[in-house]
Amino acid sequence: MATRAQFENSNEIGVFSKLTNAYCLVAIGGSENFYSTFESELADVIPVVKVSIAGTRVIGRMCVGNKNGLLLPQATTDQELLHIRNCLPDSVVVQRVDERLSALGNCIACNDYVSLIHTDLDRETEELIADVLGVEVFRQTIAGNILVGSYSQFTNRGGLVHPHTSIEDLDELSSLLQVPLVAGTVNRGSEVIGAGLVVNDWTAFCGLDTTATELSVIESVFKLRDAQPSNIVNEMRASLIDTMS
Amino acid sequence: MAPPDATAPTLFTAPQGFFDGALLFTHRAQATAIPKPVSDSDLGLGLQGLHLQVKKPQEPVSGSDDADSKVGAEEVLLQSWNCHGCRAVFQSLEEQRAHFKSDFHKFNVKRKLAGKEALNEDEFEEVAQGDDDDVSSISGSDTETEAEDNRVSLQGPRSNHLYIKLKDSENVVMLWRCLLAADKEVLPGEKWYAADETAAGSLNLKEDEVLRRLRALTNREKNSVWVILLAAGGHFAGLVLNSQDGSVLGHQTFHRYVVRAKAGGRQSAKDASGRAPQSAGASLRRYNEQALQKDIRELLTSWSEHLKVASHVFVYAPSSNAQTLFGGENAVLDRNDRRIRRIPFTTRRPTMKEAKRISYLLSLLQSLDLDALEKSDGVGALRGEDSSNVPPQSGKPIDKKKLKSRQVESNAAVEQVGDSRVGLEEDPGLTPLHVAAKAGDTEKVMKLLEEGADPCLKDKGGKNPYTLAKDKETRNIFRRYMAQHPDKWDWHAASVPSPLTDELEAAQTAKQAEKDAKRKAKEKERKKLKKAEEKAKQAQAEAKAAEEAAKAVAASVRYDKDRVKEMFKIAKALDPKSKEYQEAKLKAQAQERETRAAAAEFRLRSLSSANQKPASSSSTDSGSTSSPLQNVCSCCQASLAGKVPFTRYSYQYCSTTCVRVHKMALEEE
Repeated sequence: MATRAQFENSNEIGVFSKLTNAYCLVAIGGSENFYSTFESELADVIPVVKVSIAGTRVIGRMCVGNKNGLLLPQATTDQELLHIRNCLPDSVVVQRVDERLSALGNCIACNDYVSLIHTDLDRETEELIADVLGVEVFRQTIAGNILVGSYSQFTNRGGLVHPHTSIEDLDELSSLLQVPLVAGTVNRGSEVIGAGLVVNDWTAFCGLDTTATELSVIESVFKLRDAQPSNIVNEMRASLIDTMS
Repeated sequence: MAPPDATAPTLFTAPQGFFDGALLFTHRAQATAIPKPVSDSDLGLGLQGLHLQVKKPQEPVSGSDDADSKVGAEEVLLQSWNCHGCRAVFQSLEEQRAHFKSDFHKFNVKRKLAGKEALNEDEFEEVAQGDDDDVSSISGSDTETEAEDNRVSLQGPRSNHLYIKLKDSENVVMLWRCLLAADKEVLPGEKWYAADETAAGSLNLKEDEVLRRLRALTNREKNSVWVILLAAGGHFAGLVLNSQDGSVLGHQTFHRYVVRAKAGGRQSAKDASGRAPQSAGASLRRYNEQALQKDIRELLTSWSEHLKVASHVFVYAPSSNAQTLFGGENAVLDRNDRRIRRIPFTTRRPTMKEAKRISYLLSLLQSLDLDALEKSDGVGALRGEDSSNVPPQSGKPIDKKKLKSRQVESNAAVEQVGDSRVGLEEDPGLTPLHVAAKAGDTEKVMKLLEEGADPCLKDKGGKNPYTLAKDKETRNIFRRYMAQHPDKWDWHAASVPSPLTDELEAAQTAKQAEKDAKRKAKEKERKKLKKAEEKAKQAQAEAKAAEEAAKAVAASVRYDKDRVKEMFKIAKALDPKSKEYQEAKLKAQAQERETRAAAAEFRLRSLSSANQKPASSSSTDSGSTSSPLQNVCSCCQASLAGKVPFTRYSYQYCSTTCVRVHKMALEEE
């Protein structure tokens, strides 16, 4: 299910939080309300951690991660890194990246298998992304925007991209990423999908302004309607059994 | 079957060029194996196994008419891996991904961001060689070989449907195979063997021919006609319709009374079986059959124009009805005509309404819902095909063997998960316990019961495992378990009659042992008795033989006695003083002596045999009981051998004196 939330009167919750299949990061110092929204939805499944990155609260735009790992900008302090390492599961690799484009969240969009990155990222960063996050990396733009992390959001089940994306580009991206994609908006017409929406395989959070129509698109493209962690496991088991037989 | 629905898409409502650029599959699995988005496959398998997709290659420009080849050239890869920016098309996901990682692609992306046109590969090569600053490295750039495999790889068993993936749509449309090919014809990729090459050409259809036929289905310019002919049980319905808009050009129905009421079957069939009834009804039906045939032939002759231009002639004429259409010298239809197609689903009584329904169903474009398919691929996979996706009339042949093995495997799989109830498609109620009980696998039954399998569950036939149990031992397992857990299940519902406790079992075995012992003893006694009887029989037979011998001797003795008497008579009759008298008397005396000797001999012999078998002496003469020495005189103890003894009571004496003496002695005692 998708949930609406607001961070201190801001609808751009994707800026202040980071959600993956293995963990959730929320900005420290926000109202307790914001934190508890995530806590109530996720607490018994994945850890919800209050963090700051490089002393800022815009953690969602600063870092990028999936169930395999988390990449932080070079500006992240040692203390913050340590805190994040302590709070995340051991299977998640946490790594600092020396990259000129420090807003990794804006430059990189990924799920657990593939990622789209800013065309100007370093080759070293590209390799680091492939290694730490365990993904295939493609330099791509979305509807002419190089900030792929800001203008798209996708999981293993589906994706939402900038509303101006052409059908050809959608087809191309969808076949490249192997997930169904839809062009759409959040927060009553906002095209910065990455800022307005955080999503993983079974739940999503979007800004309080998101309309019912937008919400329904989100729920259907990310297949959240009957998605629960247990359902995913069941599905996996079914397909596993099918494979064995 | 759904009634004709105005909203459902049919061939008649499809726009011109509906199938242009579509992909054709003979098997459903191929059609649905388009690169669908990865589901949450944590197994990492999601990205593989999707490359089965067969692409329709560019139509090879054949020597056929111009219009066709033009349309063929327009056949574009529908679901393909391409790069929009670089205008490149790829054969597989790997190729596409390799391209997206190549310098060529990255270079173009940057150019595009800068507002410049994308370069093609050759231009890029030049730029890369001319100015190294523009491109950091060209080592990763690999040229895309667009080597086309010009074959359509269509595979899979033959089905009544063909699957068509439309150009600008995610949907897969299902089309009846009979619209594109006759039964005898083989589509490329079908694992089916054409009977023979015929004069009319190969039965193995070429791809371009199939595509031509597919396009012709929605070719609005040509005026083609479908003819539907239904003939069964004295009913006939014929329908001619414009295959482009479905409008009816002509129709006719006939009905004649030809089927024998209640008995069933046509009159001609009954006549052919031997006895042709001469009743009024029979002759009526015979006449009607002929009249019906005549009607149909006349109608079809009048429709010969339609039949000539018809693109498809759909015929349903089972058994003898086919004779009406195809048989005879001036047959209206030719069996080998490839436009003649079988109707691939069940039809009802030939009526106008039914003919219309058939035309609707044949033209129906059923689209398979991809979402539903995905679901059935995942969760529903255990249950095999998701029946909701299968159209009701799809006569798709299912490999039963495969299905069965799948069931068995899924059976095993579900057991592993720990569910005792196995959902077999054939019988939802059949549990492993049923199976084990039926097989008489006592160990398995016990194990299952201990694991908590419910013995009360009933299978399709309403039988629970106990009723299905193969033998007593298996049933006893249930009863033993009942004894151990009397309250665990409703044993009455499980049909288990009573618990089998250890004491009960011990008592039973004891009882059985006792029974066995009794039976053994009886057997022994019976054997003994039989033996004794046999012995007695033997003795009797011996005695009989002896008696017979005695009889024979006695007879001879009697005969001799008679002769002696005769001789004496003769002697008496003669003059006593004469010489003949003397001779006769001597002769008679000699004869008497001989007779007595024979009698004595016989007596001796029987005596000796009696001595040998004292056990069987009960039936022998009483004289031997009083005196063991039979052949001695009871008075003087002298041997009686060679003498004819005198007998009184059971005693034997050598002389009358002895008789008297012994009598007196007895009286004195």
